[in-house]
Amino acid sequence: MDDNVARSIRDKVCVVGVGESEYGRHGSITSPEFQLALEAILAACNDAGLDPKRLDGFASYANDRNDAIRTATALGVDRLSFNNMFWGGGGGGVAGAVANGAAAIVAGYADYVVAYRALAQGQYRRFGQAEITGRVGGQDMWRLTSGLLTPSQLFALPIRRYMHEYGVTSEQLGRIAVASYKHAQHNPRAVMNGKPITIEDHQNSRIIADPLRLYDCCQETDGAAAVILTTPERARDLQRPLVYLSGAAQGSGFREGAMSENRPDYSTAAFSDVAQRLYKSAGIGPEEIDVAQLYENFTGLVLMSIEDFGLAGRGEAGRWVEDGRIEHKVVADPGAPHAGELPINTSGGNLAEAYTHGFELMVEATRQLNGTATLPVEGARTSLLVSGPGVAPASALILHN
Amino acid sequence: MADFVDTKYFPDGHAVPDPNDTLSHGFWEAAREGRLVVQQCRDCDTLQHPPELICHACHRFDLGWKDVAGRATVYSFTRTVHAANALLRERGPYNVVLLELDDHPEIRLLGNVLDADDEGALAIGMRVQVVFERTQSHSDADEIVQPRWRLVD
Repeated sequence: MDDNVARSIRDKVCVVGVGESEYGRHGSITSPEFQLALEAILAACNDAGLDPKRLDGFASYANDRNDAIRTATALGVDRLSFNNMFWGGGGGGVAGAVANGAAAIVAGYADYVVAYRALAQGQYRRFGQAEITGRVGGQDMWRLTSGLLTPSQLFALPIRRYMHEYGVTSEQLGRIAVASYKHAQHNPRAVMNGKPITIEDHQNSRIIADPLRLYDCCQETDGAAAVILTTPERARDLQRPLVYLSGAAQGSGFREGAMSENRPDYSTAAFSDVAQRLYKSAGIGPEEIDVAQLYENFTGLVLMSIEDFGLAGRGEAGRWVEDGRIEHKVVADPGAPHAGELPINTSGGNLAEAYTHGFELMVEATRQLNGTATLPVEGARTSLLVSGPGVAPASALILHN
Repeated sequence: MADFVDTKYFPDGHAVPDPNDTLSHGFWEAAREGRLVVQQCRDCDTLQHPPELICHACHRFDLGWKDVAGRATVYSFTRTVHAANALLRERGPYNVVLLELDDHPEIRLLGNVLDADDEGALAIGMRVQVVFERTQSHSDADEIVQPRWRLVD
């Protein structure tokens, strides 16, 4: 007996509002990070048509500095009845934080949950820099002493292995970046709006950690983003068209958290287990996805995610992203044989919109289904969000309208 | 016989292992003797890396160390060009390799290959042999010796 499906969260929670602060390059935004978090939450409430004082649940991930109790107190909410932190670093918790908030609504812990992430790298540490000196211990020591100090250096290794196993080229990695930058040109919020790139620009960009070039890496920015969740009954009293959570999954498979690069299935994005559980939870398969937001810490891991989630076969993502398939048909090259078949990262994502640790991808996954996207995918009914490729634990969810 | 070298792959100031680390002190103790080891469960013989307090297979806390041959194959690698800090920027591009041990391919070790910092010097599948770098020498209060690697035919 398998009762996971009977207990699925499918259609029990709606995303009713989304919002963000202003986005900018690291160091360009002077408002404190906590203010950015508050601005994003207020924007999301405003989008929903919800009085912020009715928020009673707060969920985040990656040890967000702007904790639930400070936030609830600052906003003067009537009560805090659910607070939640998704363990794990990196962007593995975007969908996880949303799913935890959704579970709280189904459990009756809270009526209106905000899931959010604020990250002002200009005010704290830039992820691309690391001053690590002296003696180090613990499970991190192997990475640090061998010189893997930043995410780009660390993730160069699985991406290199993946490229080797399947003959994937740097130019195919570049297709991910070009699509994101093309989409960002239609998004006035995007930090890289007004700065389009071509595949030649990608190929000519400097090496950061071979095989990763500058444009293979996510940005270092300042910003915050938030979404509001509630029951479908309450959602009907608010102002946006209903967007339902179809399903969600988080976690990792056998020893995928093994440090020093000892995780099994090394040339994948480590989603095999999460992807299976997600589709089961949502009751649909990859062929039914209309638009996808695939977390881009690094372009190569987007290709690996495409395979883990069954959008393309194992080893086939490099060719699959060519010919305009992942670009919205408005921006794809005229005559590209697969133009607009499955647009990904339609707001510009981590590479070209802003790096709110991937939360802007959750905002965009919602906007694609409620008529507020800057580059809407015509007729989209199902929207996939994947967060934290190569990270353990990671998470993913599917929305529908 | 173990091959010790005195050349330092990273400049002084770069992160070094704490040889008294709770989980890994046996690894660094062996390195000082010119031996490469991997953590092994004394009960069920399972190998695991990095070391942990418990055997992931049988849940015993009785863990020891197994000597391994010190020959390996490059499973993946990077050449870091954009340095994370001023110290490493001054040093210039360096390599980090992920190695599959010949005698235990289920275990991967991170490392650095000596004399292979140039672009194109490394490729997946290349064969390497361990050497032991005296990162902090005998005269220091507690010596730190780290495995590094050399390309072999």
